[in-house]
Amino acid sequence: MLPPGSKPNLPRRTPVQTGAMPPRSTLPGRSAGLALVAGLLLLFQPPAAGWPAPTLRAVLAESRPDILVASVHSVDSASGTLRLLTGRGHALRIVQVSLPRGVAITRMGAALALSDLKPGMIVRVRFTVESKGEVQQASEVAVQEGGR
Amino acid sequence: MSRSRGLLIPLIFSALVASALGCAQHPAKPGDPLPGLTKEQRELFDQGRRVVEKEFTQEQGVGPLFNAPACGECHEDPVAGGSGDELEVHVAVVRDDGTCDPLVERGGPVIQQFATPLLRAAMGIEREPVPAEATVQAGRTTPDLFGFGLLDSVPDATILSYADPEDRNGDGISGRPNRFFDGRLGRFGRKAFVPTLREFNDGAFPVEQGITNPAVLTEESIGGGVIPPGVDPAPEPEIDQPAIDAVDAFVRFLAPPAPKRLSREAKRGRSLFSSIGCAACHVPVFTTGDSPIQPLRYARVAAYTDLLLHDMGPELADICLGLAMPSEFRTEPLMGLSLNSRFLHDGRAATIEQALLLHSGEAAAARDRFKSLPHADRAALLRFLGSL
Repeated sequence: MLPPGSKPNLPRRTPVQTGAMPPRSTLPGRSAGLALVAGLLLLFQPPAAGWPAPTLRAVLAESRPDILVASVHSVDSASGTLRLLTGRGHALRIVQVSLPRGVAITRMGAALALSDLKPGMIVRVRFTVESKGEVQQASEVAVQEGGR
Repeated sequence: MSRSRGLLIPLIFSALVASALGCAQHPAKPGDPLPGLTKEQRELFDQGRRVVEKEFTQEQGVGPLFNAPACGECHEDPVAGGSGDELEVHVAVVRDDGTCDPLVERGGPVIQQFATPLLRAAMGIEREPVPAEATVQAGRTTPDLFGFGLLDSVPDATILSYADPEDRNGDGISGRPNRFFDGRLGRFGRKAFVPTLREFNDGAFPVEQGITNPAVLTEESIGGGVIPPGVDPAPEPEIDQPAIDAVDAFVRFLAPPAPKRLSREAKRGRSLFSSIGCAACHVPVFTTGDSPIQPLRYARVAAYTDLLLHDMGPELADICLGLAMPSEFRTEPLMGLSLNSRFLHDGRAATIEQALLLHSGEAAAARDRFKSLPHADRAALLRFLGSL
């Protein structure tokens, strides 16, 4: 096995050089999408000090904008928070969801407690979204089949 | 009589012209686009190649952590989109409850090997640190991307039709699908974790180059910590949608290299490949599904993979990812095999034969049948593999 970071046959490793920025184009609809992401970021707080903000636009682009499907990473029943694994390709992110009191958590229609959620379970979290794209709150958590 | 001759001559002429045109369509070379693209698709492919070959600077978005400043720095052999022998570092933890933690909170699963000058000055680090919590670590070489658009177009149902997680047919092969965090079937990456080529490409920019894009607006963390102020000068996203669309088109439209013409020996090797059991996982041919891209629609691709996970034994085991446990790997596609200079997921094998002999787990029986073949048959099988 080669040592990490090695490139035995082609040792060239070009240093980062300075240069001009490529032109950026304005994307139609991008501002609305960014507003929605910004709204979601208000709901999904980074789980610990120092954590980079989570990326959700990728998930939203692939699914309905009011639903996030992700895997449970960990559960904090005391604070009522759920930390979910999501991401795009191998760019993985953890987002933290604060669940308002009384939010329905179900599996195949049966009610669950937050503490019943275990790492590896796939959950479908529904939100209410205002017409401006701002997220109001998580309104439902349902366990999906397919996870651990 | 003269009337039938009058019809026959144009028919023969047409056949000769058609034959000549067919001969004029040369077999795909590495880096060629799929035949049959529209003019617009071909232009997008060419634009994408330019982005892939472009070396970005930190002012243009590279970093703060990265593995390379250009896609083509690693995907380079023999052309842009090809393989590379750089070795990445991936980490994970297998929890006591059997779940896999890719250590996202500590900068995983990919640990970047380089820091920009600004990050080096700010933090005094040359690369991202390997998390102390990591219980498993992996090396990853760069795969070539030839034919990936065709793999992306294979219907999920086709892949799942080869799954046999309980080995109900008793052949010792029990391929099972991996799934992304949202439950979708995975197919890209050595652990078959990423569901689509688009996501694979979108995610590669921040992970490999530290370049954010409209689909991934946040940088990779630095070992789970914050990025110091002033070390990431380019505003997010650091590459725009048209550029990443072009890169996606380039990767999607890369043709699989045409296999070499088979000698009589190689044809015998092809038969042995099936008869000793290699083809149980390295399924020779897939047919793609419907697609708006004509060359990807209902096309046959000699991929030699089932895109499923198989237990390869403890010697090859490294990280977990999604449902894939450390010893489970996706069957590596063998199309373009002859273009590679290192083999297996971490490049530990210098030859195809070494790679074959390192197969274990579900592949142990096929490996042992290979080992017991007469020398001439082993040579024939290797000749066939070397033609791919």
